[in-house]
Amino acid sequence: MTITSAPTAPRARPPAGRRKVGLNARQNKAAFVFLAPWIIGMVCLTLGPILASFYLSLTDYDMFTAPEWIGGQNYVKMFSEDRRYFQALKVTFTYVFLSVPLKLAFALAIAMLLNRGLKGLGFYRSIYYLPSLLGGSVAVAIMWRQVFSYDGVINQFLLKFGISGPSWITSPDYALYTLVALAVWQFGSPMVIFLAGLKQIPQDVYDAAEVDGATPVRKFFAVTLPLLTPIIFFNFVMQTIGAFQAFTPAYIVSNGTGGPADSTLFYTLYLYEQAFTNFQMGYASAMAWVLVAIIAVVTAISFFSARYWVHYGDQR
Amino acid sequence: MANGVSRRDALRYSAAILGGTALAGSSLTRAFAQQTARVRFAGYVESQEQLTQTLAVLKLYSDKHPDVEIVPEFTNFRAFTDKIATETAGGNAPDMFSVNVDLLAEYARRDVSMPLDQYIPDPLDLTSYLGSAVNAAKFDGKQYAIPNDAIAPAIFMNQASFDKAGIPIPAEMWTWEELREVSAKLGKDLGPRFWGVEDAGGNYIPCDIFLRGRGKSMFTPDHRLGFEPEDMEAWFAYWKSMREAGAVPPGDVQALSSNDDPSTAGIVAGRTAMAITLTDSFVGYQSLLQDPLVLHLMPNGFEGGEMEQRHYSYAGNSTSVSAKSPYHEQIIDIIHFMHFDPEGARVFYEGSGMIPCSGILRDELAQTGSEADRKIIEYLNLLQKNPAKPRYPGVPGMSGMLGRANEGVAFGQLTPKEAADQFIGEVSARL
Amino acid sequence: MSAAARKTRARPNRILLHAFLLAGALLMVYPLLWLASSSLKPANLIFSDLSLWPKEIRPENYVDGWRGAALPFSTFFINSFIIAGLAVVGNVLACSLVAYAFARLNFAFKRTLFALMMMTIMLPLHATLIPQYALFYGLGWVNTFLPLVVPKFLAVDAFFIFLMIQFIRGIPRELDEAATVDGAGPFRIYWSVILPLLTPALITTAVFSFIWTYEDFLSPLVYLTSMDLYTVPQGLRLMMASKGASSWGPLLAMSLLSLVPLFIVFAFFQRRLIDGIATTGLKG
Repeated sequence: MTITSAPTAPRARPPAGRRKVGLNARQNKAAFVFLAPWIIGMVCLTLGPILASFYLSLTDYDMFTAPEWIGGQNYVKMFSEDRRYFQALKVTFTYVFLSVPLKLAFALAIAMLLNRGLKGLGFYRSIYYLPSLLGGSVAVAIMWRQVFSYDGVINQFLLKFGISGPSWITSPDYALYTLVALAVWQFGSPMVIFLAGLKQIPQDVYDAAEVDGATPVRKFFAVTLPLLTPIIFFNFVMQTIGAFQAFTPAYIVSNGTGGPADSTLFYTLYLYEQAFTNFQMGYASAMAWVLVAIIAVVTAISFFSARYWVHYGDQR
Repeated sequence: MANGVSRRDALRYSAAILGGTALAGSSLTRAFAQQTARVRFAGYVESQEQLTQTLAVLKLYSDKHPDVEIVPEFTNFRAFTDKIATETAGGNAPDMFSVNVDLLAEYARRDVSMPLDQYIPDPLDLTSYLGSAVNAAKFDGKQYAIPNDAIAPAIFMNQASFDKAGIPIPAEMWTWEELREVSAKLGKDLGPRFWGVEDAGGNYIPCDIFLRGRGKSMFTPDHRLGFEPEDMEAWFAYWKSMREAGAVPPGDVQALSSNDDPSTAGIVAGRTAMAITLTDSFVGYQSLLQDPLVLHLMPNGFEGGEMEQRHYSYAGNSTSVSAKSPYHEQIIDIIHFMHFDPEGARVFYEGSGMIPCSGILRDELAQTGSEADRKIIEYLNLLQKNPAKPRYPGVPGMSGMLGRANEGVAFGQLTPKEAADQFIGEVSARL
Repeated sequence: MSAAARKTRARPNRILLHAFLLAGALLMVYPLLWLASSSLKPANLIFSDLSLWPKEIRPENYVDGWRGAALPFSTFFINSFIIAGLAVVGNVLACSLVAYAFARLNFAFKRTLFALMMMTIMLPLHATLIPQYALFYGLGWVNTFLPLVVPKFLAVDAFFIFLMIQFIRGIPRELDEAATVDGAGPFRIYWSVILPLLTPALITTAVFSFIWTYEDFLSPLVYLTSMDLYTVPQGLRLMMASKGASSWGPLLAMSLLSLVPLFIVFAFFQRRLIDGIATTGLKG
């Protein structure tokens, strides 16, 4: 399949304005044919449970007896008397702000390194995805303990300088940061998506830049980075949403209790505890909807900012 | 045979893919043949041995009763609690299911489980069962579950550590003060980076035993708190003093081990000599260790106070019946088969690692069972010589609440008094 | 600059690059080595002696694990492969259709529908689990593969829709416009212009659909109730019963084995992703 296209250089043309033409009836009809599976899924499978969970958030519901309408009480309780709720917010926001940029930077850097036709790189690409395959398994927990516990690798190193370190992974002051490190270590998924994105950049754009005598650094900033912005944006949005919903990492440190002393009490972990340990499904649903609101605001801001830094090929 | 199996598998997969609950599984042929009771049995299993034997006894029953098909739906404990809650809430509760003491209270008080008193003593005669276990499976005075096994709190000791430090194994009846003394000495002799016992300040059962030494208890039979704030303060202060004496690991090291998981336990990793846990973990802990373990009583009182055997036995897993199931008669017959039919009971218990709750079966197992079975039965019999008052059902999430309060003290965030107040506040909200 | 000249200049850099990558690879592969070594140890050495070299070897862990206490592990593998395989097909087909509409076509309520789609990924799974369960139970789908497979054919995974939207938007519109001039409608454009250029995203979707469906635990747990329909993670969970004498070795052995198909799928597809596209993809 060979397609002739000649975008001479990226961003050569100003982005085309939104087409002002009204809805084209034929296109509208075609669109809904394409959308049909999603609309059927939405109406039949997804929408009902979503609405139901919103309704439940306004009730006192213990999962076994019928829900009882209490209006906004769950929401009021969350923000007025639940000390642990604020701890969960703090933990989650810290985790999102640290893990997302670090992980993306790491994933992009490694993807750039591995995006070459060189022999043997396929091996690394597979190996570097391994940590992401392992998820929150025993093997990962054991390794993280061997690195970050009181007699772990780090402390043995520090001991050479006469410093006696704490048990990083189970100290309330540091436990969360070891989980940030874990998130960065499991950078496989965004790396793969970056690789796919890099593959989609047409070679002729590079060739054109080379003709202009661009240096590799210049090529990265003038060609690669701008053309990759839709994918950077995607990874940023999805990793942010994923980090807000982080759940399994807590099993590495505390076997899912959120300990030590609630220092790894992720939002969804606390939500899960309320729902399935305390049988407070109404309260858990309310927590879920506050999380939706938080994520929606962050996502909306991202989409708004995207206008200024994301360059789509279809606007060239 | 191979052909038959693969054809059946193919049918099963297509049924599973195409839908139709009734068609899935091996019920395909039976459903048309005759009226078959399809009894779903959901449960948690805590060992491979238990799973093997449970499945074997259910199969044996189905073989003898072609009109009853038992669908086993087993998984491990944590997954089970999520699964059964979802199924029950979604209107698809299994016909019979496993419960522990705390789950029982939750499912009984919401009428998910059915009271079984009408079936006792005929056909389910529980007279030879451990009284404390039968009582712990009651809620509101009614029998909501049939106890399967018998477990009790205990302290495991690594004989090798004691030998190495030249400290004798403590006497059968000992005090909480002696535990501190022995543990501190072990820590001093075998340290640094070695401690006498694992911090059990976040552990619910030892706390209950501690409170009973003060004439109190965690809960009362009518489901209320059975202690005063200063009793709980004394508990957290005790573990604080243990930490200060070097008898237990500091907070951050302790947090490396989580309740109920021997793979993370300090005694397995070789940093402590003792661990407070339950008898049903004995085999699991021992299998991960090279040194032999001693099964011992926890302290039973305080210096100068009254010494009395306070360890209660109860069931780690009991069988409960769904109130909505249309197959009550069949389920009772299945339970009867597992507990009282000589052949059924033998298959259910022998080699399962479970210690039967029934005294008759326990005595039999003492003859035929493994070395570990005999040690545990001996220990349980020791407790039965002078039975303690039973455990009273509490609320789920106890270890979380107690553990957080204890960690608060361990990390210097809370005083023992504040920890007690925090814990009492959280538990009271759930009663 | 000729390719040959570029190569010679790059040689010392390449050695440095490989040294760096190899060091990184060690860090990545360590837990797997631990798993491999521990899966061969007798239980009493797994957690009491964490060294990588097993002092004693117990290959029976694999036999015991595969045989299983309830069902042979092959059953769990077959179930997982069926579900994950169907999920791949469903996601690739359905999500690419929907993504094309969002990325290229104009239609009523586009922004609203897009926002609604994004919202479905913001809601934590645990919050909708029970209503979702009640729905599937009402449909009579519980204890079949349907609740795990049908949603994929109905583009419920907004992650992949959004992924493909971003990739489609990276494709210059001139290509569509050229095709339109040639008289192609939206379906022709989707099929013969967009899909071929979307290969990197389609491969990514396929890989992640497979891996994530295969690893999923909560949905199979509640929807597949009878044990003969259990998937691999459920089979592993059955072994994660901590109180018996014989579960740790077989558990670790099967954990390692369960990673093999994922690794093969990944290694195979990453090759296609990198090597395959260069020859068939965009070349001016």
